[in-house]
Parts: sequence; C-alpha cells; structure tokens
Amino acid sequence: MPKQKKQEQQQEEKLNEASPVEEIQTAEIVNEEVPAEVVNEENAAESEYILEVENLNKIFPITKNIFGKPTSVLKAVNNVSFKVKRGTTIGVVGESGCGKTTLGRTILRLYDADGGKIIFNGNDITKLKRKEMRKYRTDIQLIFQDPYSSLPPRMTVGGIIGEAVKVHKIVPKAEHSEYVRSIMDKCGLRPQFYDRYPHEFSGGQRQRICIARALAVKPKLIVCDEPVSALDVSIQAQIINLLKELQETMGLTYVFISHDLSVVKYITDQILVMYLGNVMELAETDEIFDNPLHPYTQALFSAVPVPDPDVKMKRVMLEGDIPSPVNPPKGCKFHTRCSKCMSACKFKEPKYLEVKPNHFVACHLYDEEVMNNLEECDREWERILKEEEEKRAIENEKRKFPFFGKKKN
Amino acid sequence: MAKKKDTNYISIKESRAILKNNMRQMRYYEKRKRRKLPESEYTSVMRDENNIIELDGLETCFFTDNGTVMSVNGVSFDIPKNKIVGVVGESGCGKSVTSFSIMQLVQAPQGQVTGGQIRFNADELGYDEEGRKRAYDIAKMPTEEMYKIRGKDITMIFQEPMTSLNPVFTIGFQLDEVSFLHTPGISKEDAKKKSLEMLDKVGISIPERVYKSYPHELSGGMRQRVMIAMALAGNPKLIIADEPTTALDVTIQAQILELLKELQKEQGCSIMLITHDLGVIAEMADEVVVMYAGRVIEKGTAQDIFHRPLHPYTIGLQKSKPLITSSSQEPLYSIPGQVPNPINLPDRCYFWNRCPQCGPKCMNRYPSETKISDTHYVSCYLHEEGGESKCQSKKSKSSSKKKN
Repeated sequence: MPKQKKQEQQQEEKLNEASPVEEIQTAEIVNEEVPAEVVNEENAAESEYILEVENLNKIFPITKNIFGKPTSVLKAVNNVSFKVKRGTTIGVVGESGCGKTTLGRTILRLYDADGGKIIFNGNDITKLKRKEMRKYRTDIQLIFQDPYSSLPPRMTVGGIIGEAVKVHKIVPKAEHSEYVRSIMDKCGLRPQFYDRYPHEFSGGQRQRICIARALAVKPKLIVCDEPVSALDVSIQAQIINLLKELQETMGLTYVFISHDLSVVKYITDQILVMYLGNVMELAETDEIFDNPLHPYTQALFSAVPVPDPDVKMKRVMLEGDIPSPVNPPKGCKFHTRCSKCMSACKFKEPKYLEVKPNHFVACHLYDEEVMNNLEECDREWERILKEEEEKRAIENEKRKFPFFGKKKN
Repeated sequence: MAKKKDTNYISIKESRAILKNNMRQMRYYEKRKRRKLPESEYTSVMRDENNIIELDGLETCFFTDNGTVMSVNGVSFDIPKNKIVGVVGESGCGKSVTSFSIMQLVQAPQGQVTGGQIRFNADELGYDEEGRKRAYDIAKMPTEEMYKIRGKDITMIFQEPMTSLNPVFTIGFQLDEVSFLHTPGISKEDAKKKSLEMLDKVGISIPERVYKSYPHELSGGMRQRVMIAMALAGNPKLIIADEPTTALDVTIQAQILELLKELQKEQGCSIMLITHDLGVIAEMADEVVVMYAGRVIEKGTAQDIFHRPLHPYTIGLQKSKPLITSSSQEPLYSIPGQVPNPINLPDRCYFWNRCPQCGPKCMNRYPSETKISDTHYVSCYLHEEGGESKCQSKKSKSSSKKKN
C-alpha cells in the first residue's frame, strides 16, 4: 500500500507541475480571441452587461382544444427582467416549482421564449433561427443538477468532453486530444481518466466531468442548474471552489440556480428571488441579505437552519404550501401566505419598482401610490367582493332553474 | 504479472470463492432469523434505565459480489428517553443502515446484522432479579417477534414521502392499517376516528378531505405530514427520522422541523434524526453522533460538537459549509479526496488519507474511543491520553499556518 501512495503523490506532483504551463497556454488563447470579438460585435464592447433579460415570458399549454389552441396555460416565467455584468454571478433562488429551471433553460434557448427579449452580448437571441443560433451555442453552456443522469454511460470521458469540441471545430484536429486533456486537468481530473467510463467515478468527479464538458467549448456564460445540490457537503466545497477559481481565471459569467441559500450567498454577486414565475426581489447579495424588503424574501432567509445550537433565528414562518401554478392567486401571487397582506394585494398586481439603486422589489408595501391610497383600495376590494357575490348568486339561481334562468335576467 | 497492478480486479477463482462464502453466510443468518427462540435468548439487560435504545458494537454487513462490505462497523451510542439524537455523515457512511438495523429492515439476504447488540428498553419486560431493566436485543430477535415492536414502539419516517406511500390506496386506508395491526379488535369507526385525530395533530387543516385522497393529490410537505401522522399512530417510544426534510423546500422544511419538535415534546418520545445537513442538526438535536465510513468518530452533546469539535473530520465538515450569517469571500475549506472504498478496509484510521494532521501512528491500528468529558467521546490519536502534548503542539502549528 505505501508504494501506491507514493505513486499517487508522484502523480499529483506531476500534475501540479503541468498545470501552470497549460494555464499560460489558455491565457494566450483568450488574449487572441478578444480583439476578434471587438471587430465582429461593436455592441459587445460598449455594454458592460453580457446578458440582459427583458420582460421574459414562458408559457406551457396544459390542455388544448381540438384545433390545437391552448385552453389553459401555466405561466412558468412571467415578466422577468434582469441584467448580468461580465464576470459576475447572478443567483436565482426560490422554492421548487417557481420557474428557476425554466428561466435557465429559456436563456439557453432550449425552450423558445413566448415574449420578451434575451440580449446576449448586445444581440437579441430570442428571434434567431436555428442555424443562426448555432453560433451562440458555444457561448452559453449548461451544467445540470444530477451528475448521475446527465452523462452518457456508453461514452468515455474523453469522448464526452471532446464531442462538442469536434463539432464546433474549437481546435485543429491534431491538437484535439491534447486540448481535452488540458481542460480535464483544469477541472481537477487526472489525464489518465481520458479513456474511462462515467460509471467508474463518484458524484463529485462526475460533476467535474460535467463542468469540463461545459468549459471545453470556451463559453462566456454558464447556466449552473443546481450544480452542488446532489453532492455531499465536503465534495460541495470542492466544486464551489473549482467554479470560483475558473471564474477568476477565465472571466466566466454564471447564472447560478439553487435552492441552497448559504451556497448562493457565498458564490453570487446578485440575487434574484422568484415565486410562482414572478420576480419578487432583485438586489446585490450583501444588500439583500442585510436588508431583505419583500416579506417572502424575509421568510425564505429566516428559514435557513444555522449550524450553531446557540443561535436561535427569529423565524418568519410561512403557512401552507405553494399554490398550484396552473391557477395562481389573483393580484400579488404571494398574498395567500403573506403575513403583511393588505386588501390591495388581493386584486392588484404589484409593480416591479427600483426602491434603492440596484434594489428592485415587487411589493405594494414599497409602492407609494398604493400606500397613500389604502382606503381607496379597501373600497375597491369591497366592490369587487360584492360583484363576485352577485355573480355567484346569479349562477346559483341559474342552477336552480336551468330553463328559466335567462328569462329572469 | 499484472495481477497486483489493479486492486479492483477480481479473478474468476476469487469471485467463486466470494460467492460460495456469501451463500453460506446468508443461509446461516436467514435461518437464524426464522428460528423460534425462547424469550431468554433474545432479551438482555439495559446498561442505563433512562435510555430507550443502546447500540453496542453493532455490525451490519452486505455480502456483495465484490466482497463483504462492512456498512456499519462497531457502532455504539445511546438514545436517551425524551431526547433528540442527531446522526450526521456523508452519504455511504452507514447512517441509514444503522437505522435500518434497528428496524430489522436491512435489505436481506445480502444485508445482515452480524454482531453486536441493539438493546431496546421495553416496558412490558420489567426488571430482572438484580433490579436491572430487561430489554429486547433486536439484533438477535426472530422476525416474528419483531412484528410486535416494529411500527408500534419504533416507527420510521422515510426520506421520500412519494415513494414510501402506496399510490394505489387512499391515505385513510393506509392510516387505518396501523391501528388495525397494533390494536387488535378495533372497530372501523374507531380506527377512522383515530386516523382523523392524527391528521389533525400534524397540522392538516381539512383532515376529512386528506383522509379520502390519494398520495399523488397531495404536495410534498403534506405527504411528509401524513408520514409523520402514520409514525405517530402507534404511540411510539422512538421515531427514526431518516432525512425527513431532504426532499422538501426550505420554508416547508422549517414547518416540518417545528412540527417534529412540538410533537416530540407533546408525546414524550425520542427521535433519532438522520441527516447530512449540519444546520438541521444544530437546530433540533440534543446529542450528536458523527459517523464516517461505518464507524462513529465523534459523539457528544450539540454544544460539544459545534463549539468544541475535536476530530479533524468534524472540524472539516463544519468549515466546508458556507454560512448564511458570515460574509467572507475567502475560498472555502474543503476536505481533499473522497470517502474510501468500503470493501476490505485495512485496520487503520479510515480518515488517514484525507486528514491534515495524519501521523505515523494513524496507519497502524484503528484508534479506540477516547473519553474527553462525560458526554464527549472521540476516536482519534490526536486526543488519546498521553498523546495530548503532541496534539497540542500540532494544533498550534496548524493554527499558525491558517493565520498565514
């Protein structure tokens, strides 16, 4: 056994020696690319934002009539807007079923958006055709949640990582295997793993393969869809550190989707809180944790257990479950579980306002128009209630006298 | 010539030998379970009357085609009455198998409890001649006798509420079943009344509607509530909660944990909470057991483990979790390497290849348990008696390194 250990150590040393050389190589490659970009896309140099999402909508039809028109729909993403600066990370947070993953997939154009714009590097990519889109596929990549089901079991690691490199002709054929090995090394995989199959690896190693696959095509933006939630705590830290390191060395931008708030806090610069497809709050990470404004954000953050037996958090407990997204509540989507619910919340959809610089909230509590006219809102709510009651009464009568109902009205 | 190059390689001859051995072992243990034993064979004496369960050197093996896996390798800890004991560890460290061993639910015939004692403090057994409390030894109990305890005195809440509820029966049917099994002669109306009462107790607002509905009609949080109701229906003394909130959202998790805590106080039962989330443990548990590769490496009260962790693994585990309350941007501490392959583990500290303070002593023998205080135990050579001066000097070195 000690012999083996020695061998391992030697290998590791070799790796450590090898890595700086390759880093320099990649740095050169990046340097070469930059001027080419500037010539091609003038917009890109001007805007500091790599990704701008404006009023993005995504609708899934649930039932259709005979003509194929949807009769009831699920609004998975509803009027979402945000901007991401180059080299930063935006976190998307929310409970399950709130549309985080759909948002990520729509940005990748795995789903076609039903409205709104996705501006990547200054170009709107929502209306591009498939062939035109191919150019951008290498720029935006995805890391999936489950490393066990997202790797093809019949391909070798080298094949998995190198496939897209071949298709998009990232490097000349002669350098192909060398390039793949260099990418593997960067992600903490030994080059000897090139010919092995995914089932031979543990969860953490598999996630490294997924990351290497995404990195191999030299992307600018990576959508990480819960990359660490399937891993153990000690492996989680390794992957998070790797992601951070890669961001610093390669200038990547991440859209980090997760439900683990402590991880999100550690890795992101900006946080987007979603609930039932709508944005509740968007702000910089430190700002949103120090000063959460929306009642939902407050409840979400206070629900995270702290690993210290003496710290007892002041809990804002939420009652009940998330309502079904098929028929969400009217007005503010959160009003059914909100502790500060007012009459205005029940019929009026809150505006998405910039309360402080770079701090956006969709809540009536911070909307001066609504807060100044609370009494009016109460009156209107009563009026709506009355109308509904009248409607119900008429319907009930119709049910009693199905044949004479029309005459009476 | 290449025989010793790859340790994972098994020749046909070896594989046949393994299969033969496995068949023999499995047949032996299966037969033992089916035998009808006199009560004296599977009863034992409790060390402390105030414990509900005492695990003593428990060993659970899985006879696989690649060799015998010691999933649980000499685990000993107590669960006191009216307390919540948390078991933490990475996946594959044997925390779930420990709980399955207590329930006698280990995947048979491959998985067998091969040694040690699980002493369950049952009221009906009374005291022996010397005034000690008698107890069932679950490790030796025949399956027939186990039916009387399982689901009544010891119940379990499983990880995934979707897969552990039967999709073809209504919630009501499945809840009533518990009453029919454990209170013989109960009428249908009484069983229904009790089930509704249980559903009401776990905070379901319209019990009648849930009683009639099928599992797929409920949300994840509701299903977990139903599971808890089912676990409570037999008035258990011990509830084993195997990762009860892993599949749930943060806000729902907070609700479920709060509910478990309230019910524990109300019913006066003990809970064995198995999870990998240190935050949940800190919130809920009175005592904590840290497991690694099938062994207990550290145990103590929650204060001991979180404020004065001693084993390098416990320290690493706590450091590698980003905190929501801190705002540092330094790289996270990560434990290098992976959990060792559980087949044929050699006799040395299993954490040696990932440990920052590994010494030559760690390679020779597995460290025995060292008592630090009345409640705090560690298995590590750094804290063994006599080796303290050495460990202090090492500690100071490592701390100075960290500062730099």
